[in-house]
Amino acid sequence: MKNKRRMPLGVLIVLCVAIMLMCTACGGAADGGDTENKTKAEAPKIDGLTFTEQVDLDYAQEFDIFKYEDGYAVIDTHEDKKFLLVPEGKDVPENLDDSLVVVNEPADNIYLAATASMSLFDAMGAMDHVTMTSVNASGWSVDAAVKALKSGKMTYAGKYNEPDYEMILDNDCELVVESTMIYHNPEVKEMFEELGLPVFVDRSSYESNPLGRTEWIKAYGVLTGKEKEANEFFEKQKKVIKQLDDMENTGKTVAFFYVTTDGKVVVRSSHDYVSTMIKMAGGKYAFEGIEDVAGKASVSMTMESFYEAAVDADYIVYNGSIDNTVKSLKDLYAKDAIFKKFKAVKEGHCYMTGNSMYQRTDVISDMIMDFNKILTEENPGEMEFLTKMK
Amino acid sequence: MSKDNHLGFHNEVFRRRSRYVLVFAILIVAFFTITVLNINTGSVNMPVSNIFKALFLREGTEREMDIIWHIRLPRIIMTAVLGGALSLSGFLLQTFFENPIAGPYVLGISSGAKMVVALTMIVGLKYAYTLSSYSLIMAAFVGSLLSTGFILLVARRIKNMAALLVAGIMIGYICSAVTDFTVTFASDSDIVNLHNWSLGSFSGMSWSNVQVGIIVVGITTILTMAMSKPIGAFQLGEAYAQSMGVNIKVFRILLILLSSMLSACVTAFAGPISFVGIAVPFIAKGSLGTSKPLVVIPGAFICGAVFCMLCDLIARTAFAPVELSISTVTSIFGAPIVIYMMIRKRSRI
Amino acid sequence: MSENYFEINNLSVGYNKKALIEDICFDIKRGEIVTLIGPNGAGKSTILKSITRQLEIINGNVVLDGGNLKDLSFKELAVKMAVVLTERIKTELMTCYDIVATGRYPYTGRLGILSYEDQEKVEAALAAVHATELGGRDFSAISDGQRQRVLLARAICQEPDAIILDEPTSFLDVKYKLELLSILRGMAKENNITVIMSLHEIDLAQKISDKIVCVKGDRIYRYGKPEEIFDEETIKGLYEIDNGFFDPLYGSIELPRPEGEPKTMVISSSGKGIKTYRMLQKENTPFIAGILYPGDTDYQLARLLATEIIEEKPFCAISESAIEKARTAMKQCERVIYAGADIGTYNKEILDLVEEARKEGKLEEY
Repeated sequence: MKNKRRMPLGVLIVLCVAIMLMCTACGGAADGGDTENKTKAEAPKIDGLTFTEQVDLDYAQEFDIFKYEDGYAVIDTHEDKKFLLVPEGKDVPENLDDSLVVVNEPADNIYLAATASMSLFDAMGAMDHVTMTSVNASGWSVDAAVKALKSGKMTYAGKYNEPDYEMILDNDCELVVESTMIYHNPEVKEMFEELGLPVFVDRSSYESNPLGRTEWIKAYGVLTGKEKEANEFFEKQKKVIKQLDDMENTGKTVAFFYVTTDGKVVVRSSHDYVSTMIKMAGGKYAFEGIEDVAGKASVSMTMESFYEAAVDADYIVYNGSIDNTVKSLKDLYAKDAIFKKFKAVKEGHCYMTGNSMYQRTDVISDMIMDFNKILTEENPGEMEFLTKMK
Repeated sequence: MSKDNHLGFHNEVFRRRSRYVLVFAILIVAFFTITVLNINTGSVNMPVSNIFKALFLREGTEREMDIIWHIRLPRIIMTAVLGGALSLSGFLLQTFFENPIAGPYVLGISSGAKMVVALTMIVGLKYAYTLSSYSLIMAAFVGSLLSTGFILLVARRIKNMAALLVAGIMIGYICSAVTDFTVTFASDSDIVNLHNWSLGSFSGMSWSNVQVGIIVVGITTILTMAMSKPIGAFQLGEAYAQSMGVNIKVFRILLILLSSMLSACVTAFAGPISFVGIAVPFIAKGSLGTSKPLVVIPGAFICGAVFCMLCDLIARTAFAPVELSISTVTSIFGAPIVIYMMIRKRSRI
Repeated sequence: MSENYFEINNLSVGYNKKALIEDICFDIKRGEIVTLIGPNGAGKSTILKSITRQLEIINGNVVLDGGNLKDLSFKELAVKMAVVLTERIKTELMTCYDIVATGRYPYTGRLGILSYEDQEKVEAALAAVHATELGGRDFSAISDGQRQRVLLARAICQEPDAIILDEPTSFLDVKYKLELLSILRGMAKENNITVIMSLHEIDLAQKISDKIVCVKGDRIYRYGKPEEIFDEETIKGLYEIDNGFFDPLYGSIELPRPEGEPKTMVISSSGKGIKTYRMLQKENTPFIAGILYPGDTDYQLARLLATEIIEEKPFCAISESAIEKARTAMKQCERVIYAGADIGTYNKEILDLVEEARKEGKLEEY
């Protein structure tokens, strides 16, 4: 009698778990099946609108802009929903497909929770479109943001994973711009959508080319009606890089890393934008071919492996944007005395980044120029993003 | 002589009943007060009359309706429902283990939930690109039930309560180990968000959440009430309970299942929330002056609802717009209560 | 309805499928009081737990009121059998009334709410154990003796055909021991409730039980009526007493007699010597007692404590040989204690002995 009882219970539990796991997988897959969207995207057909052209993008691959007559536009960020921009004064087309979300151009009272995009808004002169943000004044290295928060033009409206929905609603928010961190908190995105607010996810961090990240300014230009300014700014950035077109690769190796609190070294994978920046600046990334088994942007390794790969690197650049405890060579030695043996240290080619690196997506070209400077000049002068470690 | 005793008994019964009525009245008043306070509190100032209009007459600007119906109300209801669920789950486990500091997570449920949430976040985001909140909720639920399943399998063999507790702790450790292993392959954003998840929060509850929550918690609570007779028998210990006609084997399994459903539900929607399950049943029993299940089950539920709503109110408003994590607030209130409880127990013995 | 309420056939009991005690066979009638006695750890509790289904039966069967124990559901069993256990129960905020009220569980409805009748029965049960005034008090705040009575009331309240008790008198002082046992006897004789229990106090067991079961080793050592069981040899063998005696006549326990060559003599009769015997035993002084008649109260104790007894046949005059023996004994003694005696027609010679002792200067009188 007891054996009969045992069997069904165990089977029941296993069945329940199996079913639920399947649901989870399905639920997950169904929502984001279009990872493989490498083929040319098609302009969505919209009743009453005539497609005119697709905006040319030089470097960016993670989004597309489709233009229609009368100033309508669609931004496709390769997610399940696309954004239809309806110009001021114009009507919203009827019978809209469910996959299109309406954004009234120009988008005002934006709640910006993607810290990388703030600098782009500043570059376009569209700061006044952003009235709420997810980071306090102390967390910004973009001056315009700090100024706006201090003056009250911008307010702190809660972290990206716990936004103050009431405040956001109350301030007539028209658009929410989130970073990819929001994928871990789908309920926040769903809540916003339930409240009728369009959520634009900034996927520029998936761009492999660093300039591709900056090119997202074009999408923001369309959203805020500052397309002209956006394009102008981007052309400027392209010109800066143009100087390096004819440059020959110096072949010098650069190691970009930081040391964690438990003694591991974190470097960028060779597909990451930092590695690409180094390449574009005329250098060689010291960890060519390194890849994370899980496809992450950063790879963690032991001090031993790092030593092996980087002891002969020509330059080392310490990632101060993540770990700002290292400000001098002494601090570096404090992390591990073995650094004294590194070629770059012996030759005096040690640099570090400030903490603005991540947030200054607007001036990536300048960053590349800085890298170029340290590679070509023995004693580069004042640089904006890199400082020599003494 | 017997007539006097009769009267004595009836006086006694009357006294106890009036105490119950009084405590329940206080609880219900507190419940309504806190609900009103919660509805009135938020970053946006809304005059009370507008709130009433939005609530009862369904009139008001779209903004007001949104705020009341989509932001404040679902959160308040969920907090109450989940708070009650936690408290009830704690009461059941305390009875089961005959130990007043047993809590809803003593059987390793929160570790199991965290493990599957970590797996889902890290593995799922890598392959499936985006997740829905539904999948995270299911993940937490599945994780909770997985640990429960193991505990049930163990409970069949082990008769000793202390051993069962140890088994729960071990399962917790195993799940944590698996989680840590998974985390080595996680990106920094995964780690941060997993940590945020495990702090627990009532933020961002939607109506679909509320619906599921009410159904699951409601059914489980009714089933628990239906079991108040054997629970009362069990309060004398397993041996006596069996001699009174309770089928101990089935009872133990049912008790574990019910309590796990409740805490799994809470963990799924709001993440792990500490101390409510330990401290509130103690408060409920103390104020009611009895441990009779028929009285304590509803009492603990309402008490848990009030406690959580109060803590959520504080979490939201203390440092607005920054939200305190709910576990922080519940610990600040709950820990002293538990300490006081343990000291008092000591002095008794 | 068979005469036997319980039939225990070839029962084997133990833990983890290992038999501790095997081949247990005995029958119990309704309204009988059966007591299990035996040394600690012999398995009394094991047997009781098996009968109440707390422990799985390893072999054999138990027939209860005509039905096999295994076939009864827990609920059916609850109506037939109630238990009082030794383990301390930890209750929180439960009054004695609540505890006793749980006895009504097999009879109340879905939610366990007591009807008026149920309440009356609870009150009656409390009254039966003289614990009415404890009703409103917290169970964990009363003394062990009171707790035991309340638990007995709980069992009574369950209105069973049989009550099983595991060492119910362990924590009780004398007054409550007696009270508990007399309540049990009342239940058995007046209400025809079968009582099965284990006791440590063999003197009490002897006095209250209808049947005794001696548990020792891996079998039932002996089973039968108290008169059959309670002789010195059986008890000595059961408990392996080598350091004292058990006197089945009075059910009393005695420490062993003093060892050695006696140098003291006690002259007494009619129970007057008892105090002296005990005093000498405490001093560890071996002594000779006489001249005593078998059947005299002094004789009963002297036979356990004295090294030698000088006796005479009951209701006969003291013979010459007896007096000679007594004189010889007195000669080897240094001390003669005259504890007092009832002197009658036939034992005047005792006084002579006393005089002789006085002349020799050995006498102590009380």
